[in-house]
Amino acid sequence: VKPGGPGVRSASAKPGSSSGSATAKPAGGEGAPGARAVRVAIVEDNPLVAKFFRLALERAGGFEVEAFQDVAALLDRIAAGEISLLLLDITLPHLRWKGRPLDGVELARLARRHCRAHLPIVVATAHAMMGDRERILEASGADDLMEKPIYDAAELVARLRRLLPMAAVSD
Amino acid sequence: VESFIEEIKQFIGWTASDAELLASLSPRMQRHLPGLAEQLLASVERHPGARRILCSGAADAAVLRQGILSWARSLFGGFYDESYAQLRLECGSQAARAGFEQRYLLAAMANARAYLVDSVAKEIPSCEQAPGIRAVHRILDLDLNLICHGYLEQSLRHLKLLNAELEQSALELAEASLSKDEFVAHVSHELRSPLNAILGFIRLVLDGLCHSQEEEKQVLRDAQQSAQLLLRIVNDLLDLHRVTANKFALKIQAYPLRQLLDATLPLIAVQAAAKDVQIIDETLDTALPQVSTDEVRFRQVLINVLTNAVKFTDHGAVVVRGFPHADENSFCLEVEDTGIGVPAGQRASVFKKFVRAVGDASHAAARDRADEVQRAGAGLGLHIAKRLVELMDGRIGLESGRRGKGSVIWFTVPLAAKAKTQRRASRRKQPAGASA
Repeated sequence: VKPGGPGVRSASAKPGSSSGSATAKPAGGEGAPGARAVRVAIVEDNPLVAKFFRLALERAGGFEVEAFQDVAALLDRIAAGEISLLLLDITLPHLRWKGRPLDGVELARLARRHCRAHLPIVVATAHAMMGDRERILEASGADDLMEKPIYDAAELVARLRRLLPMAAVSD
Repeated sequence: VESFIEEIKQFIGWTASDAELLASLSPRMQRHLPGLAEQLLASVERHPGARRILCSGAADAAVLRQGILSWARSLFGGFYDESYAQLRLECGSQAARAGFEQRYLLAAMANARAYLVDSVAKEIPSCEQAPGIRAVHRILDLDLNLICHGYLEQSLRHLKLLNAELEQSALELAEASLSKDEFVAHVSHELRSPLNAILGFIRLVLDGLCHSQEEEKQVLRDAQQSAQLLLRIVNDLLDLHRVTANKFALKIQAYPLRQLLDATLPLIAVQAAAKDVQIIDETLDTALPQVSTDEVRFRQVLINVLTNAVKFTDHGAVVVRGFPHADENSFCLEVEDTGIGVPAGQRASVFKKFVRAVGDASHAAARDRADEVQRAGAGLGLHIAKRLVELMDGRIGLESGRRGKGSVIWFTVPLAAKAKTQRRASRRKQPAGASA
């Protein structure tokens, strides 16, 4: 996924306030100018939901989004320090790790072990019964949990930004 | 029982001379006993509560009269051993089983005691009465103890049984409510994913976050696709409810299987054509029988099985075959796909609620495509198919594909009565015998 993309800059995609060089960037350069874009890895079972997350984050600016279905590839990128935030689903029936299925809870723990620094993890789940939130946060060690449906792009962005170090936040 | 009877005897002050005394009274007592039987029977008949024991009328009154008579005779039999005790225990137990309340039992015993004491007094001169009357009191004490013990034991057994039944039904209720909770959790989970996409895409458009009109359109089409998925899930849930609550009014009739297939396969061919999948109907080469089934539900089963096969096949073919089932009066249809297959360990669970087939790693590469959503569902199609097949007296199962690839889902459908089969079949070009 390339940052920016064609065409019009949307109204709510705020350019970084810290950017003296914003005007020098080509049109559509929404990634935090001067700063590295925040690279978000998405692991989501429903491809259309993944697409919505990607659009919501890209349009907000400052995010580069990549969807993963391959656990090994994701862990490699995490270990290499190339992922700044992980947004993941809990029920992931298609996911395999070392020949066996794994869910978002296990994947979150696995991701933590592959990252030297603290990797912010947000769980986006449709498990919304009483006690699910506490149970999943506790078991996964995730930093935050959002209950689906998550349809407010601004809120999604705000929740993710809260977990990022100040330097990485572009507005 | 032996130690039990000895204990009671000790307790009531029973002596060996009591036994001898009672036995010696026996000849003189015989003429009083029919009167005792009549009096007890009359008192039972007088009480509406007690009368229930005589619910089948004269026959039961005669049996009861005979029972009282032989009981009263054995009081003067002279042998008060284990088998004597056993009979009393059984008598008490029978009274409990018949629902004869304990207060009637106690009243009848008191009644009998008064009658027998009177009778002994009439037979023995008054200066010698005391030991005989004492003996009558003691034998009735013994009987009262034994009969009540039998009565209590039976009541306890009955209560224990009721308790066990209650525990069992409490357990079943708890399980049912647990699975109901799980069900609600599943449904909530299944509905939230498509809702997320629908609400999210609409919000993107409303918030003006799309870059072009073309993108807005695409995003709305994605929302629409998710809404269609949501509709499918809701329909499946309704079907599941109907099949669970047994609310399908099945109309089982004889249908030519050929006609059922011809009416159903074209519907799937449309789905398959949208992908690179071909539907091959191998039953066209064989004669198909008349089957006994519900037309609508049979077609639903076929559609669910075929939809599943097409869903999980990206390229290749879905093959429909049919053959007479080996040892049953039924016909077997099978649907083979060249899709991702199901690992041996998961085959049984494919038919469970909310279980979706799972791809392997090579399949995961295709996951980013939007048409992947078409594969999604609540995981209810095969479960509903299984429930329907079983409602229609058939069986359903899953095996690995014949060439080690993909999988085969087969299900059976009962044959229609033979006469009808042959009559209808003879109208087709195949010989009638081939279809039987």
